Amino acid sequence: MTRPQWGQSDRTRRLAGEDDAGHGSPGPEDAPEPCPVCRTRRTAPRCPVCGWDGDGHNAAGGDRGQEHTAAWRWDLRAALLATRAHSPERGAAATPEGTLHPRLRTLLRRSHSVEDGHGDPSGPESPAAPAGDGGADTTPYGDLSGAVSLLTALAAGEVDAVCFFGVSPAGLAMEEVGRDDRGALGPRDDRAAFLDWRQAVPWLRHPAPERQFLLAGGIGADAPYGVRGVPGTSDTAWETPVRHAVHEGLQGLLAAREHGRDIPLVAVDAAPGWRWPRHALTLLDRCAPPSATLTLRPGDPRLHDDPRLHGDRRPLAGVVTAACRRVPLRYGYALLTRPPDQAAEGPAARARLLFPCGTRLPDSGELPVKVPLLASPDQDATLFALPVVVARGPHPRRWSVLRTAQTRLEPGRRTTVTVLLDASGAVRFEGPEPLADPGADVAFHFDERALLEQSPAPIPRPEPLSDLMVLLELGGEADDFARRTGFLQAVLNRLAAVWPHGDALRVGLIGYADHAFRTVGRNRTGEAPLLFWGSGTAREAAHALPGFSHCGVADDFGAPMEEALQAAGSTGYWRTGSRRALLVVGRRPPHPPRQGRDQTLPCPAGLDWEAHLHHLRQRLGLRVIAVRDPLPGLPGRPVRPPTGERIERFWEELGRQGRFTLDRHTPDDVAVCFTRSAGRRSAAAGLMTDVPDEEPGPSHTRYLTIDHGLTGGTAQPEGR
Amino acid sequence: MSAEEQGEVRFPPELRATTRGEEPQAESAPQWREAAPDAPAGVPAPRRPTGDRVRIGLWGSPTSGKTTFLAALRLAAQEPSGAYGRWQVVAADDVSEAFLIQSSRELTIDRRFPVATRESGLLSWLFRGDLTGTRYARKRFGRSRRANQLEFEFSVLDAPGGHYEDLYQNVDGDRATAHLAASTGLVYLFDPMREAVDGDSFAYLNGTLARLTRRCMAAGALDGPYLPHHIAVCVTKFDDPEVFERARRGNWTELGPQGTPVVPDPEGFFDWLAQDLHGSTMELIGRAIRSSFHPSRIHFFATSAIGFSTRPGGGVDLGRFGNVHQVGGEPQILGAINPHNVMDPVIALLLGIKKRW
Repeated sequence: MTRPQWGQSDRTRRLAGEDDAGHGSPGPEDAPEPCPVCRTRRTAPRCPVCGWDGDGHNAAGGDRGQEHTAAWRWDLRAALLATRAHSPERGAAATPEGTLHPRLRTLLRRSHSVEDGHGDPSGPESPAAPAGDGGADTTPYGDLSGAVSLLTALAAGEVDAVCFFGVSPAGLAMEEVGRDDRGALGPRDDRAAFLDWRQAVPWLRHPAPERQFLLAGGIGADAPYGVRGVPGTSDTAWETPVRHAVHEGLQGLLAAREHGRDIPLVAVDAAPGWRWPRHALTLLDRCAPPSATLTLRPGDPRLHDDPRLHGDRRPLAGVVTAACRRVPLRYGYALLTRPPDQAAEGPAARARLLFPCGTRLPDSGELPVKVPLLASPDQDATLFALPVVVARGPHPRRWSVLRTAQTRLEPGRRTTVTVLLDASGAVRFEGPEPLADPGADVAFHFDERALLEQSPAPIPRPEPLSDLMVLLELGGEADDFARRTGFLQAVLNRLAAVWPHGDALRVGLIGYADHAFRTVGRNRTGEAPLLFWGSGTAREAAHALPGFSHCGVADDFGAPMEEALQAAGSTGYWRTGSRRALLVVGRRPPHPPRQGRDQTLPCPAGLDWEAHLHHLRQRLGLRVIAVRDPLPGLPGRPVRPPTGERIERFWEELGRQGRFTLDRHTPDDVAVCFTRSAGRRSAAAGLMTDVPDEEPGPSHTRYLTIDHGLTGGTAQPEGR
Repeated sequence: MSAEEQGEVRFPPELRATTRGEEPQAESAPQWREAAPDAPAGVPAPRRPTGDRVRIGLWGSPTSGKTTFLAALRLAAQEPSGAYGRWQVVAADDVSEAFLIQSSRELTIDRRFPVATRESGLLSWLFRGDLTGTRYARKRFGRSRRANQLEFEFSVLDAPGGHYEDLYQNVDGDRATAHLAASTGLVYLFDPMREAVDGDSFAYLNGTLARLTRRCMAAGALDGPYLPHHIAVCVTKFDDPEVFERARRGNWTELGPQGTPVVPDPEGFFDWLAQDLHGSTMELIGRAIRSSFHPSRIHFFATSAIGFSTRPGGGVDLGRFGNVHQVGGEPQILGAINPHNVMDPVIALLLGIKKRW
């Protein structure tokens, strides 16, 4: 190939005075002259990178031939870097986009053969090692130690944030790592930025292989230097946009530093040996010298981010997250338990340390800790909570709940729960007993703060008034009705235990039987099918339940619940200032106000259950708790889709603030839900009782004592 | 010179007026007889009208409401407004009489649907009516009063709907088809809700049509490519909320003079419903019927054996029109039954058949 435009004199003149050596910083004025081909600072007459030998002579073509050989060698090196970063399928390797320049195609094919080991990399045309200036590659790729030391300082509060500035064949990226109140580190989504090389360098509109070939420093074939239409791939064409891109990327960091924030910088070189990414890092070194440098291979899997995870390109997110996970826990993770020898004035709960501060997250898998626990025998309920807190100090007010699970156990039973810490810092539970995440049930929001503060208040306060109205469906078979009333009776007994006497809780009952749907006679509207009781205490209501009896069913898919909702809203039952709740125990939804595609008959009185429900919630401020008796399988054809949709939509709407199912939930669940809405926290799920280590000798377990801030904590979290 | 004299064959062949006791035949019937396959032994030909009597058969897939239709037919015939004239229904035998009494009680007193047919049985009633003063009466000048007096035999081999599909394995199914072949008019009940769920109505229609065509071909009763029967295609359960709401959504309904919803263009509604029930075989059913029966002998209706729930003063409240509710998995009738378009298909068949004589 002849390249008459590459006159040595022109090239030497054009490159004179440039300070961007291919693999080094600018040297003193008396430094050796840079290589006219690759501009590497030569320490010997023969350039160690491209092989140009200014003092030697090429037998074939003299200086011109030697320059051609050196240029070919340099381009082959760039092509090799580009191939490593961008590895298309074999066969279409050289022409992934079909229109490559012949010279570049040849180079890429050659670089492929070198990659595969078919070519002879030590031959006269072989490229030098891409990442080094001819010497052995000693770069510690992927070494996170520098970044981790800075992040550890961040976790300790010594610096305000840590910024990562990365350069890769794809572009320039910025990530900022912050710390939350639990001491956990993580990249901040609002501070992340990415600039694609195609945006940074406007004329770089080439297919990926050509673009990366140019980024790696490839010179190309055509005049003046470049491949196919590059407007003068001169250094000027590169330097200005690269400088602009780096300055733009650092603006936020420099501004923050001017405001006094201490933000160290980590430079991430994800394109080692690439000429223009390296130039960007050189500029970065001048503007904001990094505190640590992290070198990655372009093919590092952590750089291949998934835009779907973040909504935008964030190639450094994986690396930054991996570095954050290497930082030891700043605060310990502890499980809240009841002390086994709880005295009346003693602490209500204590924290059993599971993962002390300084714990390193596992690189893979999970870190398990087994905790023997006892279901307190003096507790009526069978529901127990397992809250894991981040212990930021001895005072429980500074603690925050990391995760909570709940389990069902018969009081007095022992169990062993395994708490597992994974590589991301998340905690999960395993145990022989069924464990459930309270977050999975929208009806059951676990109030962990209540657990931390469940000691009696030092100053007795007047108990808030609570009103509960129960709507009970009477229609159905005797067995179904007995099951509903049995469940309701259990709920009322639980409430009676919480409100044993007085009128702090007042309960009323409304039973609704089916419409008669009479079509003979003067009155076609269904007779009022309601049966009232009350009001009284929860225990009185429980005793009154046997007075309700079941009745026949007039419609499989509709009950006069709309009448009961209307009655609940119109009665003068509710006391001023009381906390109000409506508990609905039923199987069928109400009748619709109008006939539609539904099989269900409309309400004879035309009542709209949605309007009455809205009135109860918005005007009267009721919290509605729904207990659904699942519809048994009916003979005949299956329920039509419009009917099924209406039923599901109703229960979803009714149970927006609390929805339970007769088979899946227990009376405890409903009682806890109501007591929480009534402002009573004493009925919240209890803690498991701690079981001391049975082995003789000093215990390896350390505790934090919660004294509710009354006297101040004395213990400190300790590692094990 | 007529076309026949010139040696041309008219297609479709025109039904020739026959004398009493003769089978109505098409002019070109002999040409078609040549291709007739071997007729099964004892195949009855379509029954010829005896006097003014016309025999009408009932046909439909399972749960299409055949038994309920039969039970409602007598109540519809006694429509107090006299829209169909005055009719007397006379049972032909004890079984038919018992069915009439029992099913009427179930519909009106017990408010439940008659039990679906499990065993085949021949039921037959004689309907004698006078259309004078109704919209169906012939009002030609000089025509005697007797011209408006009609008599037909409504004869049904009340077979389970499944027999119409299993023609080869089931003897009763074959008997049912033979019974249909011997009828002059057919009432075909099509349940769109069953079709929307199961999508198998075409299976019941197709097998029966094939057997029916074969029988008529063997008996030389085919009218060109068409069966000789008149057929009333009834889209049943029009009062069902889902069917009625679809009809309203497609703007196919109007309020009739009695304040009851009616479908002015039932054929158009049938075709639209076939498209609305996307993926069903209803479109195939329409095609099969139109290719098997002469276009002038096909009548469409939207029917409801029990009708809509009405207000005390009459008329239908569109906010509460349902007359059926489900209790314990079984449908029950809410109020009084108001058969809708139950007599109309029969009258239309009668008039269509009479017009040809």
